[in-house]
Amino acid sequence: MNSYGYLTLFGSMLLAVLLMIMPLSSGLATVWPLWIVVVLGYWLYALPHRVSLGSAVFFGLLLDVFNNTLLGQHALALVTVAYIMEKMHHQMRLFFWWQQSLFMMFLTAIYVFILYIVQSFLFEIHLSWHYWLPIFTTGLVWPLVFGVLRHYRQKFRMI
Amino acid sequence: MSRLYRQTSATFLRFLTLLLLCLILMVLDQKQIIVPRVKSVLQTMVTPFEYAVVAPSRAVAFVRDYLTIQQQLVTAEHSWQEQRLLLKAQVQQVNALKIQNQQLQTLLDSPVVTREDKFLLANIVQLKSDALSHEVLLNIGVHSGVMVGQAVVAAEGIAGQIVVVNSLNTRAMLVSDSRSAVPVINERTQENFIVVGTGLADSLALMNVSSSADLKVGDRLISSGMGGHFPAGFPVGTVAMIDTKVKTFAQITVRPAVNLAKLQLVVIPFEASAI
Repeated sequence: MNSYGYLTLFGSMLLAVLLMIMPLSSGLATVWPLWIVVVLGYWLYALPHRVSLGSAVFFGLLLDVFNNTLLGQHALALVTVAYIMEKMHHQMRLFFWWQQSLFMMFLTAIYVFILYIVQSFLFEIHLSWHYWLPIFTTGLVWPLVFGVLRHYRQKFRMI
Repeated sequence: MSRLYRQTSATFLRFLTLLLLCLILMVLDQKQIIVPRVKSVLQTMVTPFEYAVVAPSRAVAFVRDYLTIQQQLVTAEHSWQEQRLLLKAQVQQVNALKIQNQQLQTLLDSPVVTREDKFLLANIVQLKSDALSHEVLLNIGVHSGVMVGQAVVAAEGIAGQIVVVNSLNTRAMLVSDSRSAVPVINERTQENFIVVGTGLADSLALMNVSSSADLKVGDRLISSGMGGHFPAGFPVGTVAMIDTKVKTFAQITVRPAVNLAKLQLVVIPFEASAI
């Protein structure tokens, strides 16, 4: 893999994090997908030997810094999801696209659930049910992210 | 076969190590050991990214401003002038009341002195709020003298409170944050409540209100100043919906007084005694 490849790898995940902190109208914000889960998910699916769990921790910590949550909170959730993904990537290749989407919903559910557990352990929180909506939208954008990232993976011959 | 097995166990070990690392970081952060200072430095370092992310919406706003026709500007200018005049008249009234209050207090030999409160102006950099942390960036740093815990007030009422002061920016937690709670008083009945955030920018909730409580849709909730965190007398929200069917506790939705998704300019009141 050449330097373009590494740039794409790193750049796409950074872009996913930045998308997650982009200012939005309040309606769109409640359904905004958790981009980092699908983007990291794709790279762990397509190039599991290139992406390590360390990058999950790195981008998780970046999210913690941006959101001012406890340092390690998002990283913990993301590394858990990444580990499951790494374990499952062989099976995932046999899935239909809609099964992959469902699997992404499952991963996102784990991600938000871990965040919820940690947060409710630390603070007395009163979350509205809208908190769980991105589980579905994140699963739904999987085919889109898959298509775009595969295009760049083939373009830069990333293997 | 054995090589494959060794690989899997290596991955698992790496996972456990990273998990432990995250946990240690979180504990240190929670216990205020070293990590918060590191985080503060990192937050200053990533500021360029935050400005880059808000650039598109800033550009859209700029173009919209640029395309505003003169007629609209003139009309807006007129209404601002009218409002300014009204406010000035009201301030005169308030000043007169302040003097009167002072005189009454001297008559009563009360130790309370009328203080001149100071206000600090700040611009907001609004990011997409994470469901778990509804926070905004203020363009003032540690040199401005702001301190953690101070209230942040917009033109329409209380917006939130300062939670982190970095060297170049400050972070304020909005009242819509799921960790936020503001003691309020119902303007109509003078009853005390606590308004909590739900993680949604446009709806707050009232905690532990019995179904028989005297509350009506449209009741205005004003900060009570209890607990000393928020100054008293600022609007927090209005009761928007009351659902008494579900449980013993009524579910009450409160519309925030401030448009939290479109905050631009805020003030931070300094109590004279704090300086």
